[in-house]
Amino acid sequence: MVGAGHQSLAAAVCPMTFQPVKIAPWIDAKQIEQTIENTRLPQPRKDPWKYTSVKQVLERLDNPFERTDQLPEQNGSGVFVGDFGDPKISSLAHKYVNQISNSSNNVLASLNLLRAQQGYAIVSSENNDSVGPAVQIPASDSCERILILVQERANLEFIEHTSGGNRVIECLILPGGQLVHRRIQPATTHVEYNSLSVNVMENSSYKMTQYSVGAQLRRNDIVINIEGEGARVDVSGGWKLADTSHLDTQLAVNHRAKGATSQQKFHGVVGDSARAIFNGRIYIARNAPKTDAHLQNKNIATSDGAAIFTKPELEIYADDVACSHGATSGQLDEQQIFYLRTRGIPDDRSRELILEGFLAEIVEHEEGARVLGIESKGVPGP
Amino acid sequence: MSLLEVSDLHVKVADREILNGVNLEVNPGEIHAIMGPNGSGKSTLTNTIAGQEGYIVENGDLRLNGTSLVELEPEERSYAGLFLAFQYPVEIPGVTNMEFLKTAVDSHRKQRGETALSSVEFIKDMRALVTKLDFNPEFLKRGVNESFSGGEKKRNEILQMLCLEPKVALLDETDSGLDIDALQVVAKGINEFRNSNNAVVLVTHYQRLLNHVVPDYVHVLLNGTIVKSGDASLALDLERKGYAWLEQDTSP
Ligand SMILES: Nc1ncnc2c1ncn2[C@@H]1O[C@H](COP(=O)(O)OP(=O)(O)OP(=O)(O)O)[C@@H](O)[C@H]1O
Ligand SMILES: [Mg+2]
Repeated sequence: MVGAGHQSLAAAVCPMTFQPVKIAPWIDAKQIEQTIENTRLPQPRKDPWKYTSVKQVLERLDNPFERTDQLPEQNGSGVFVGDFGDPKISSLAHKYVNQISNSSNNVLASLNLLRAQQGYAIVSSENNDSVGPAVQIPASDSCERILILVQERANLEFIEHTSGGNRVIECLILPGGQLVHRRIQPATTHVEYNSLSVNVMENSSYKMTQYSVGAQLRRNDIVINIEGEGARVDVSGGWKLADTSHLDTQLAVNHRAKGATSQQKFHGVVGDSARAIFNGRIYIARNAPKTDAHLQNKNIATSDGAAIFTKPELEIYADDVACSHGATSGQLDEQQIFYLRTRGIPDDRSRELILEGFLAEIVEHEEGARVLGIESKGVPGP
Repeated sequence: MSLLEVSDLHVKVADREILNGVNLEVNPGEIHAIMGPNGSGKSTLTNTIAGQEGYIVENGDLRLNGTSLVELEPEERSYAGLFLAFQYPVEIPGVTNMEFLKTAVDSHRKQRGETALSSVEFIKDMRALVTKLDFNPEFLKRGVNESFSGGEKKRNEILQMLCLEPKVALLDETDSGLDIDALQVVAKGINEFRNSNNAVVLVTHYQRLLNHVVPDYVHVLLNGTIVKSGDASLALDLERKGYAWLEQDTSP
């Protein structure tokens, strides 16, 4: 149905108030515009934009972004970082960009490519057995496009900081490859949009952590496609939101090959009049038997004004799968508080301790602990 | 002056009167056992003394060292020298046992105007204590009671008691669910703890623990009141005869 809302949204998309740079010669703006024309735009106030204003995200795209030219630093020999225009990258980028994120029905990813101020790829060398230092993707207020390619049996690790920009990342992990992705989302007063698409091939693994605190509006779209047998996906993280911050994470793991495992685990603490939205989805195609997939999201609201919308979704078409999912939101447990108080720990400290513990359960590294404000606890050993 | 004094205690929980006139006097150096059938109000008594919300004192008083506890917060009761070992110890995932114990001990120290212990010092003290209790030191690193077995949780309660050195320890069925070795460990912990200045109140269903920790007094709580008190031999009588004969005694 094409309603009035649809029209006004399209109008918001079309005007281009600034001239974007062309980040690579092979990007065909005309064709992308055509794709956008032919694509159904996100419907406001409907899933998956039920609780987050898609209008604000689109409006942000119509304002010129700060331009950054800096590429992530390249350390060690196992990895290469290059601009989309770089001859060493160009053909790879041409081949994969907008393919993994499935441009045909992802308007926001297409718009990102059209407006991107910077585009680059991070490519592991083949068969690099020793993992070098993690590549750092710095926070930026820009519109960026990033391609990550992990070659066969190669290793790659990157740490991504997001802060108020519009960033689309596409990852491809070739057979036997291993990718570790740590995403850190510190406070920002901006509207931020992140889209992440990952294709995971045979016997490869993708491990991601995401830790977030407040933003005016922060939306994380994550789609992980398991395209090869025996792949392993582990995505976890958490959030601590205060004031009027708004965080929306839409995470889908699509099992499209057999015998793969996936794990999603997120804990969130939501206070003041903040809002947290989490939509975790497991899809298991008919050709994906022997899948082992689990999803868990737990939230604690620390104020009456806090709002939590969490929804696990399970869609299973294969037989012989092991699946579990659960999503909860509630208050602090009075029995836990009482237990700590009987040991002499004051009421406010008891509450803090329980919340810190709740977040510590999903924190796996120091930087994550720092952004969530629980660094004093130290990080549990492996 | 008695250490713990419960006088004419009436307690309502969820609008129901559970305790109706409990009297108990515990003096320094004494061990008291409280026995009684399921649902008779034993945990209600210990939880009320510890300050559990929703356990409303309708009448009577609770005194520790002469100070009334009724208006005190649970943490203030702890500073006053009270300790409750829970019948069902609570799990607090993500908070390590070590962090929990140190926060508790430091809170007590702060209350006494002392500075916090250094981590190194504390860890050393804890390791010594844990070894004494035949407790695997690994448990200090795990989340508080998280996935502990029933017996491990009970040992953990004793560990906390030894850390905090209360004046009055209420142990609510700390002997339930323990294997033979663990029972010895818990008994050893209690005997280690007791001295002529403190006191222990054991809530128990069985004689077994009382073989190792000999009570000075045994009380029977029935339908919210203490219907009989005696010496250690009363526990043996109960083991033989059950509670029915006491119920007949009290029915009008
Ligand atoms: N929070 C509560 N809400 C409602 N009823 C309660 C609550 N706490 C206790 N009761 C009721 O009070 C009565 C006494 O319970 P209590 O736990 O004190 O018994 P107990 O003597 O400790 O039993 P057990 O030997 O089984 O541990 C029971 O009938 C119980 O259901
Ligand atoms: Mg009980």
